[in-house]
Amino acid sequence: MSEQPGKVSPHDPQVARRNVRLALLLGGVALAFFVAFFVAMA
Amino acid sequence: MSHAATHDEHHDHGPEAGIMRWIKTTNHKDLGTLYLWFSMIMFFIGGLMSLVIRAELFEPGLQFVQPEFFNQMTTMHALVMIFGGVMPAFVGLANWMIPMMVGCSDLALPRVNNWGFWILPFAFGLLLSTLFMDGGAPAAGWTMYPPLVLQTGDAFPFLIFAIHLMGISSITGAINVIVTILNMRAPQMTLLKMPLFVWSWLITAYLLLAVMPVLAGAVTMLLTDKYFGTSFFTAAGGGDPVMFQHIFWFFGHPEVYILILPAFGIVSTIIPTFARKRLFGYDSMVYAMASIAFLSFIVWAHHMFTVGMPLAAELFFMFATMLIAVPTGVKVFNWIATMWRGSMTFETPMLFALGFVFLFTIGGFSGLMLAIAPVDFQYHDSYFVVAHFHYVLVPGAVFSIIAAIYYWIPKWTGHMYNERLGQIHFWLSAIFINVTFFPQHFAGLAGMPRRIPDYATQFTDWNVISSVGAFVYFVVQFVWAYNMIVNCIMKKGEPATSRVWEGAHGLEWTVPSPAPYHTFEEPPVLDESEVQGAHADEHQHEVQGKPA
Repeated sequence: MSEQPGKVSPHDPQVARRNVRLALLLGGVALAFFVAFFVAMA
Repeated sequence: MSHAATHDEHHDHGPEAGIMRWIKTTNHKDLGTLYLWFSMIMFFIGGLMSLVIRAELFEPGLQFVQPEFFNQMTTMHALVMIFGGVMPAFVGLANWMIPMMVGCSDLALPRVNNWGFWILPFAFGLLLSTLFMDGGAPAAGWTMYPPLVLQTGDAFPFLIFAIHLMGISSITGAINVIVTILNMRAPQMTLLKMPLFVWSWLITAYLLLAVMPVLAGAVTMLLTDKYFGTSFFTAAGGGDPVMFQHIFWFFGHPEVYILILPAFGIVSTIIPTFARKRLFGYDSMVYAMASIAFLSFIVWAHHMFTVGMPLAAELFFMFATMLIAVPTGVKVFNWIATMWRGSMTFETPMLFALGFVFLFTIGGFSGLMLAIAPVDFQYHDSYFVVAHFHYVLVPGAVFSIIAAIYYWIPKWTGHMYNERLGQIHFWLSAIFINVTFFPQHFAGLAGMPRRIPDYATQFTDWNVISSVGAFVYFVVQFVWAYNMIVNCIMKKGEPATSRVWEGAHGLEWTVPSPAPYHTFEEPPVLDESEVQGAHADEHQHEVQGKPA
């Protein structure tokens, strides 16, 4: 996360890489919630 | 969008012609439009279901439908309105506005955005198809409490899979919003300079990310209980049905704020525009929303005071719930302080925003009443609860969606709506929403239970009034549909200027109306006069303090 990223197009490769990394992290967190919750209940 | 044809030659990736434009599009404006149309269709379907309910409740006895079908209608009405109406409408508004407000060219993950939308028609296709199955649609309420929900017929796996799909759509949307806001803001657009609508969505997206997996887990356990021999919630196998209620409401209460936080953002955007003043207490608005989001995780059991909890737990959940009134009060105070000594005008978006402030507050007060554990024993599962959450969701969330569409549609289409029709739409909506839901407080306090197709005769008068109100409110929405379709979409209305509203500030007002198919391919330079946040005031003071 940057306070002033300065690049605003998702088609810019540098921006795209940064976006995908953060998206995978967030998606991983959501998936971890689901799995951890299920395992805890089981 | 004919303007796109004349767009800069360097940007040759304009919209495709025909239906494929809408299926393949990764453009945030196209997908925003799709989300909004989808939600309007769902509002119409869910609205028809509510009319079945209100027709049946027009008088005591069974008139039109059997009790089984009535229960299907209450269940499906809630699922369609929450997951198909309100949530996609807010995602549609986020799609349209967030990139333009933070100054980037699109959402961070455009293809994921396309996927997230196109999951939804399949999810609701599955859900609505259950109406035509043997045994009918799910009928155990949107809360899907076991063991009742496990008696659902063929519709059961369709319900579960539909919810999984809605959850995937919501999570992809939430990820897209968070990544866009954190990674793609224009230079100088620091977090505390972002419009409140963007802040409200950032917080909402985190809520979605945290609780949608919980809902997915809970319904998956229902599925395995029914088909794979597990006993998560089956008492006969050693499971605990009340555990489902805890899990569901751990999702369900943050979900309530998912349905209202973007509304706070919308109202915080509209009121300063028509009061022609900066928003009062910008920073405190942000902190209030964050506080509400945090508190939403520790109040879930106020939905289930009557299941038999330890007294200490009841006290904790009661007081924690009441704490939410503090940040909510901060917000209402700030909206009023923003209007104080402002040069107010009352165009239709402002009327709906003001209607929100008044009527949502009524829903908030009845929520405080319900938070009092000993009192809740009287109100629980009564029509008072129905009145409470409909005040929060209809003149709350739905009014904010209507206000947002009136406010931003000139920017989207380049044409103004008809103000007189807008005013008629507001006043009739405001009157008949109260005619519909206010009497339900009295019916509930007098003891009328919710989710019943028949009732004792002493509740008749309030139900007659409520049903009349519901039918008129439904019909009045066609005035809105006519106004939007004819004047804005079919472009019969006056052409809109770039700024549209004299008092509007923000990057979205610096681009032409209608907004070009691609905006901010290059990072915009943020003029401080367009900043909504408190830091803009500081800047203004600095500028004013300088000698000419």
